[in-house]
Amino acid sequence: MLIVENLSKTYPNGVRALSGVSLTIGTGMFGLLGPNGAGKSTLMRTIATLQPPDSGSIRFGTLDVLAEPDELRKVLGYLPQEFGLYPNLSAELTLDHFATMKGVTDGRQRRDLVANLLQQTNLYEVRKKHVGTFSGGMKQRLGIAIALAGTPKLLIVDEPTAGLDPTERHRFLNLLGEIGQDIVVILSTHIVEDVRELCHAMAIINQGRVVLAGDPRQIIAGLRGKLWRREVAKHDLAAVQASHQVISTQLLAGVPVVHVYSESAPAGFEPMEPDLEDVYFHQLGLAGRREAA
Amino acid sequence: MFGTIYRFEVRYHLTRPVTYLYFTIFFLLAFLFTTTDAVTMSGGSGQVMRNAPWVVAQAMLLLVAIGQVIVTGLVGSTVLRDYQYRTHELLFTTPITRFAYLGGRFFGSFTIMILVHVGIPLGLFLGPLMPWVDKTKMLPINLAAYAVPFVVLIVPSILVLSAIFFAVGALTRSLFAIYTQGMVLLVAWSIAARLTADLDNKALAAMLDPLGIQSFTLLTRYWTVNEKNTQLVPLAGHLLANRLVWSAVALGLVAVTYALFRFRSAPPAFGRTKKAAAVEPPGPAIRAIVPTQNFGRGAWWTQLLSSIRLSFWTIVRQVPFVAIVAIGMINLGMTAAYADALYGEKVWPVTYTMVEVLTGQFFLFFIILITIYTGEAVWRERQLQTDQIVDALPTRTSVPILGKLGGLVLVEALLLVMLMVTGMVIQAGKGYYHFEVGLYLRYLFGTSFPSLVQLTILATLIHVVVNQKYVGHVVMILFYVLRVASGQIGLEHQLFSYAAPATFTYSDMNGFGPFVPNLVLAALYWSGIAGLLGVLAYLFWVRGSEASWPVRRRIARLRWAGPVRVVAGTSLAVALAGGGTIFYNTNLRNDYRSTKAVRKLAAEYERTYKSLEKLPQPRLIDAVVRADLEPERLAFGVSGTFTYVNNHPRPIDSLLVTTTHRELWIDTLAWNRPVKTLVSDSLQGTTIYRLGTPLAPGDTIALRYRARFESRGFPEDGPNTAIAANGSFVNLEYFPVLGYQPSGEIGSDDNRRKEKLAPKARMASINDESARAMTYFGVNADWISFQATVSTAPDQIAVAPGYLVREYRENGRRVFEYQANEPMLAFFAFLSARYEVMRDEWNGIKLEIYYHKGHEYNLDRMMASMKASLEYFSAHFSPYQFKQVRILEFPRYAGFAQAFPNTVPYSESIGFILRAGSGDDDLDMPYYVTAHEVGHQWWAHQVLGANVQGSTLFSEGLANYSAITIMEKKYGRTNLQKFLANELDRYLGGRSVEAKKEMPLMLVENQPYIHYNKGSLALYALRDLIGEDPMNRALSRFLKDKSFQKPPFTTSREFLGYLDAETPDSLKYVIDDLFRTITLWDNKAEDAVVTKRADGKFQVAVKVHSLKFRADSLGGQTEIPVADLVDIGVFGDQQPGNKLGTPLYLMKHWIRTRDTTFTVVVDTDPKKAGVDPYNKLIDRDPKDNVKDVRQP
Repeated sequence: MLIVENLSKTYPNGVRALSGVSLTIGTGMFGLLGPNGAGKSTLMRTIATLQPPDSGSIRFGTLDVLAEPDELRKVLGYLPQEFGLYPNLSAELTLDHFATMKGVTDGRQRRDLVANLLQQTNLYEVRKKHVGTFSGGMKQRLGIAIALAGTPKLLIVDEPTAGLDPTERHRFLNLLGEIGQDIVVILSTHIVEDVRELCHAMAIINQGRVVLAGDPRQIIAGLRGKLWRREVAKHDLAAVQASHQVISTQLLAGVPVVHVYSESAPAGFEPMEPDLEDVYFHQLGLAGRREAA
Repeated sequence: MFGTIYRFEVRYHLTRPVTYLYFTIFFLLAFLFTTTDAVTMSGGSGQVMRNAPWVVAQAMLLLVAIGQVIVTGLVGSTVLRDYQYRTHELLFTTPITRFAYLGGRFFGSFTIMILVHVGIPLGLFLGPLMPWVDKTKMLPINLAAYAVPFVVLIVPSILVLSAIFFAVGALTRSLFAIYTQGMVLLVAWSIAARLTADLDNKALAAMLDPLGIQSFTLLTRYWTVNEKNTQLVPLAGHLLANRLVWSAVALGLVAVTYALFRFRSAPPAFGRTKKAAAVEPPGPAIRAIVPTQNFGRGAWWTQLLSSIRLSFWTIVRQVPFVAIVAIGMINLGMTAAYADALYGEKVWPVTYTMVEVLTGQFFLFFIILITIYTGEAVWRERQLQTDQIVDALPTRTSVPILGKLGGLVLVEALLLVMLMVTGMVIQAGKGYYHFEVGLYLRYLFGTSFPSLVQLTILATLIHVVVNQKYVGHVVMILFYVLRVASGQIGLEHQLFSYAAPATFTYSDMNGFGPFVPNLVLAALYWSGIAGLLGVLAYLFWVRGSEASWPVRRRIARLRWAGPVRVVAGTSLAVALAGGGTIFYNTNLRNDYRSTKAVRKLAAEYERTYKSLEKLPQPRLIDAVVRADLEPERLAFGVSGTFTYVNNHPRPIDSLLVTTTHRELWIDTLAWNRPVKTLVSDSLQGTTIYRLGTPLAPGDTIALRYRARFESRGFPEDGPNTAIAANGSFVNLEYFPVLGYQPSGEIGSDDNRRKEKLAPKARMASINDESARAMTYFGVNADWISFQATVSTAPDQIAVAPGYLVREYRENGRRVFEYQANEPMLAFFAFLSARYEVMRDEWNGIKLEIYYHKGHEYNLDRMMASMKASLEYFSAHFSPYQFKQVRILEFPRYAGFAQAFPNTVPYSESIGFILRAGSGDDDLDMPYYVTAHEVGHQWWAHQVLGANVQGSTLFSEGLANYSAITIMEKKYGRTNLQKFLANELDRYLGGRSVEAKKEMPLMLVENQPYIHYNKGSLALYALRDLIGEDPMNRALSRFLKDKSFQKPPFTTSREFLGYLDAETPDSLKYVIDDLFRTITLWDNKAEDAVVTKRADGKFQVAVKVHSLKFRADSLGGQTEIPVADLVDIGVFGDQQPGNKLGTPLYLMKHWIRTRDTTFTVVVDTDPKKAGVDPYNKLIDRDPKDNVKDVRQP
């Protein structure tokens, strides 16, 4: 159980990256959604002991993470948003080195572990290849293998699917799904699909604040009966946006389709079944309006 | 479009602070260069002014060469920038043309390069104007002296550098290649410099140097003081060609870059095709693994080893590293190929020369490697963006730091081992198979390695603290500059010179000898300091994504705990213990004096006692001395009784005794007549007595003397090597002399000015009759009777001048008694070592060589030379005055050979490891040096000049001449050609760095380039004109009249009288030209045309251009009409050892006009022809005297 309380962080340049973030994250996959610049990476890095917050606390089980970062690191697997590896080293040696660094100092155990992880991430065939020659997906999988080396109890993966093609993305998510049964996994992403597919708990974070947290199914259920849609001609779009609480405008075969939020049925709109994306846009919209007000 | 990009580029650089940083660095370097004494290091000494055009131009060239390592990034990264910021795909899809893009970027950054380099002339210009700079060493301001070299020398260099940086940056797109190319260039440059070691390659080397420094040096190497002060650098000859060629190469390189560069994402691949991946066998079945994690001490070690391995391999596997090392080794190979050349002569490649050359050459490499690779290592993870993964690992922060350091240290160790292997390969290649692996290891790992590790730790700390890679490099370079300059700002004690190993000299005879304690302590001291720096680096090491100082300070406080404190405490203790012991040795057990304090003391001596210079003192006539050497304890006692006679017409009432050696503890200084001590100044070593009753003319007085030297640890200026475990050489400075000693005064006029002392004449005028009372050896003595007892360790032989009378054992010591049967010069010393002895005899004269076992290489040549010399000199000059000649080897703490009466100490570095007869054009240097020293038994030990100008002409000059004669008898005239060419080169080079004023030979003031090099040339040329017999007649008459003289002593004027008497009237001009004036010739073969005659013979027409100059003391020259008898020669096929070829025709002809054509007929096919082909005359451009003949 990871408990984040009242975490705040302001960068020297004045950007307020986190303000009073509190989250309780249990075992299993936890999705952290938010637009770019919302503070997701800052939160991840803070939990991963890479950056001290200005105030607040983080506890992992009984462990005070901010006071004893070294203890958390022993049980942490971390895959940052953008990362590189030693290009001239083979996948096998890379993994071997990181396993050693994670305290797997017994040679035989480490050899087994490395082979196992390579198998698990489907990299065994290319284990002798230099990492520099890897594709984005392969590198990402090696990254997760590194994060998994040792026995992490907390796994933090920051935007792991950005830039992957659909096949690679699915392969990666399946891998995550397998792992995320017994340990705390925090998956940060701005892709709603990822969360919907994997997570049983989530939070939406925007402008450094948690705007919503809970079980995605319940959250979606909360919007049921309050969402409406309609095709709109382009020249009418502005008028509709002015008169309704528009969640999103999407194109369907070139024709704009407007999703709006309303307690009662607005004229000309048809009801629709909400999905996670609508929740996400609804929450961002709310936040934006609060800001404007 | 081009204009837009150009302006954008210029503006971009102008907004970057680093641009101004570069400018400031250049400005400061130049400013420091001219405001400190650094400028004297580059030849701006003595009469050459600080802002002389030549000094300014040279400083510019050197600063550009140094600075290029710093500015590589400026141009190099212009194209790379677009890739780094990932704007290239955006840019390359716009309608910009390749030309506009590359052209704009290149010329934009080139413009900025020029602006940045303007800091150099600005600093050079403003520096000398500072109020603390000595204005007497300034010329009036001349803006052209700054502007002209900047435009003609610097701008082409900047163009070349920019083009190279740009091409490398645009084509490789590797930041690393950009940073390391500066180093590659430096290597190329040093290879070119190496080539110039050989006279014949100078022109080639000058062309190869992209920065033009070699061309500049070649063009101005014979420039006199006058020319350096007045002439702007002429854009002519090699320099013009070099600048043009390299400017063209630069533009060509830009064109090639343009042709090869493509607008695309990946850098062009150079012919590497990927092999199809082999099909891997399927992996083992997946098993669930729950590994045990371990975070204890054992894990720490395992993790550290893994980190070291990773760090080591990531460096070693990189292509640039392999390239750098390969280039470095090639460079070394080239250097080491010349490593056995000492003063142009071959020596055996003994281990210490190899190590010294190898480490000396590689030092710069190490410094650059450490600077660059430490930066790379500290930044590696952040550059690869692996930092977040690594920083979140459960390892202690010490693991990555120590891992990186360990990897770097391993790389350094690997390189040292490679140096050793290179050294041994070269030794084997040169036929030297005495491999001393142990010595290599002790040398490399005992002295160089600790310093490399300490520097690496410093570089790590700098990169950690600065936390900006590029600025870190700059700070590290500034550290090196400061370390060199620290002496200049008064921090000259070794305790201030970070990571500098203690200075030492290895000797085959004495090993590392007395230098070991200081070496060890300095290594400990700096290791302790380095440990503290390492702790700081650990405390402030950036872990995590935040690097603001408040955060780092907070984290540092958290890290300051437990083991770190132990490491810091231990380091501090080691530093304090090491440093403290050094200080105890250098400043407490021994007197420490800074350069300035030494200068002040000398000034004080002169001010206090100069008035007593003319105080009449009795003269030494008899010395009975004893030396008790204790090589085991590095101590010795000296004692003796010295008898003096009053040889003045008036009674003497006061005595002034000087004991020059300050570390000596004087026990007894007692006269055998009643005296009253007036002054007892132990600091200056001066004691003044008043005699109870004055010493009447002709009366004698005796001084009893006893003193002891004991080495107490090590002083700052190095241990006293007079007494050594093996190879002691205790000389006159441990004995008292009478009278004020002008040799204790400050010699350099620059330093005298600092002490407000008037400039000093180097020697008394030849017209100063009173100075003729003394010989130029300076001591108040001439021919004395001499008796010496010397005791030493039981396994050593001790030697002093005179003949061995008795040898016995006393109290476990081996004692030798020597006695001179004939009066000898008051010039003696004691030597002792574990000698082997080679003995021979010539006409009843005993010949002995005392040598170090293993140094047998040249014994036969030395022996043969002694015989030949004795034979020729005693037949043609005068009989040999002693019954014995001895040569003794001593350690290379000094590099000379010196002639004492019948005794010649000879440094192990000069005679014993010289390698004769190994190549075509080598001279037999052991033969030559031995002949020179035997020659001194006549020229100094029979006839010795007065203490006035010109006296070294007939000691050093004639010793050289005698040796040349012996060489010529053995090896023939044509083989002397290279030797004479060398003498000419050294004379012309010597006069260009003259500190006071050049003198004609007759008035030479102990100036080696004049009495040795010009002396050889002049005396040889004279004999060549008047013939051997008249020359020998003149010399033997001179000896007959002036040998074993009493005061007044003879002078060069008298000596020239003897030469003059043997010279026919028609040739007397030569004595004026060679001896009485400074005369230079410039003979040139303009054309040589051969026509085959009907009778089968060949007619050669040689067109000769002749100029003749008289020079003043600063090298200002005036042309005078030619009227000289000069060799005209025609040469046939080349022969081994004789580049000129067989002489077909060689005759002297009168030249009386500037242009003359000589027509000669020869029997066989001529190849070359020319004027003064053997460089007998002093020719300012000796290379153009001979030309290949051509068909009409």
